Amino acid sequence: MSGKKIVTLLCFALWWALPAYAAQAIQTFEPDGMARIVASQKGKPFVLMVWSLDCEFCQASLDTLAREKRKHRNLRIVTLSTDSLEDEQAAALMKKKLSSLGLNDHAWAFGAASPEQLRYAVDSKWHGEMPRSYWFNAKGERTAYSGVITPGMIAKFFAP
Amino acid sequence: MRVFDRGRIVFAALLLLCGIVNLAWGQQSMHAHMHAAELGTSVAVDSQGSLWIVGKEAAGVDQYVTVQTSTDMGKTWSEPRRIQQTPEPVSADGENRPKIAFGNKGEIYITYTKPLAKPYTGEIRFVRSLDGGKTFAPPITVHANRDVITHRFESLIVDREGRIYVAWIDKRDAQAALAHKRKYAGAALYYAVSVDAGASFRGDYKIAEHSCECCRIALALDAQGRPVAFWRHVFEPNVRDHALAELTPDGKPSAIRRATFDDWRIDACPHQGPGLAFSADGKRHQVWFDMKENEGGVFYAAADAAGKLEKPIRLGDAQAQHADVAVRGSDIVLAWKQFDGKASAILSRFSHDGGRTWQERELMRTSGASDQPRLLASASGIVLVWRTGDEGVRTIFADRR
Repeated sequence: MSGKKIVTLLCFALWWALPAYAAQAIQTFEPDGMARIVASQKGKPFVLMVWSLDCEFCQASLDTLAREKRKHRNLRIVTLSTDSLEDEQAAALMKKKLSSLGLNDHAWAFGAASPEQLRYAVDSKWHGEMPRSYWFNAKGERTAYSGVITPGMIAKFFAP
Repeated sequence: MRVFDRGRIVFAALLLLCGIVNLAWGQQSMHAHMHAAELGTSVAVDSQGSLWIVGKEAAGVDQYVTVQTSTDMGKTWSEPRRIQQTPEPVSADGENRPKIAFGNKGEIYITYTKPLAKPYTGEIRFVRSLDGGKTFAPPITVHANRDVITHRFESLIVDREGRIYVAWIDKRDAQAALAHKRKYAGAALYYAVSVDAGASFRGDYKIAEHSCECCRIALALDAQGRPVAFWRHVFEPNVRDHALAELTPDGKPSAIRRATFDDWRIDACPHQGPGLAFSADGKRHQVWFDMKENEGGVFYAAADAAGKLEKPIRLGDAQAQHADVAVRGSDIVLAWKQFDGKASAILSRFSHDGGRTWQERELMRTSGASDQPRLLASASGIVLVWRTGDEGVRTIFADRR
């Protein structure tokens, strides 16, 4: 194989690998974020888990979601942190947390717009209490829930 | 073999290129981080009528508490001055913000939460100035317990005798329960007292077990001058309603009393603490956030001197948050923050007749990020102080049209 061919192949490999890398990075949630999250799930039922580094109860919900996902690989779980991706330290902590749980492939976090604006973009009826989750069915209808997520809730929602 | 080496070099070059791109991204976000300030700010008025605010300054990775003063009720402010010689982490994110109060001889007292590296842990720090703010003593830690656990969400008040009370949320009891594999609802509330103008603190006195973990504590002096704490509690089995208790200098607080009855059953962090003020007639004025019958809201209610609570009034719409209350004579002002889809506004209600009749108006708005509203009863009236990301610190008299 010629050197040129190898370089071409490597470039191709990188070109192919980069979007996969990008998909693992936490995506920025701006005022259009909800529509983008819904579109990314292509009409399949999913749960959107809103959390923050400072929310102790959120850790229990994230642990439960991670555990259930390990058991049922087809569970569609999207996470959204209200910590700012603009804060480098917070971004590193979020990444670490999500990677350790294996929940880093559909992860979002608040971006540059004001937290007030972004909270409103999530849900104008939400008051900022966490953990907060949204359960989207195949029709795109969502049910909001405040409180800790249990395995039973996940089983019931994703039951065939 | 030679070709393979060449390929490896090209691959390394491509990786390097990726690295440079990544580094550039990293620097961009670092730059952004320097602009994303935590806006948590507190305000107090000294005996000369000057306003003092404390907030946070981040200079790169270094963090400081800063103080600013205004002699013209907030029209102009002095440049921010750091109160520590050495930087240390400072919480200033709304529910958790530095506090300031004054002693009887003009002493300046400042408290703040210093978060530690482990999540949810912290120490309550205290700094004083005995020369009117020319110099500040090095910070001391208020609590005797030095476990690496939650000591956070501190609150500060000085009574008429000049005694300093600092109350905070503390997880030592929760940790002890965990060690014995017992369940423990919420955290606990502790306090410490200084009778020597902040040279030392006595404590740690327990106010209550099973407080909420993540909401600010309101402290106010009642008509007799006793400090009263008002906080979100966890009542059996998981009802996050509010409780209050009187604090005493000898570490024997009163039994706790339930002060809201919304029956919000939830295992969650509401991140919304209450507000409290007393009027000279002994009435207690309280504002708080709760979910009631599945609808969240900010509420105000007064209780008479005997403690009998009136029917709560809902303030604002579903977006109302983070209310404060101040009382001056028969004037009462309530203020809360409300986002309308485009901007955050501070809305208020004020009464000149002790709460018999009310008027409502919008005081300020901003399209960017903002702190919670703070109300302050000064000699010249009740003032709203609000720090916004775009406009800085703004003040307005909230007790007049």
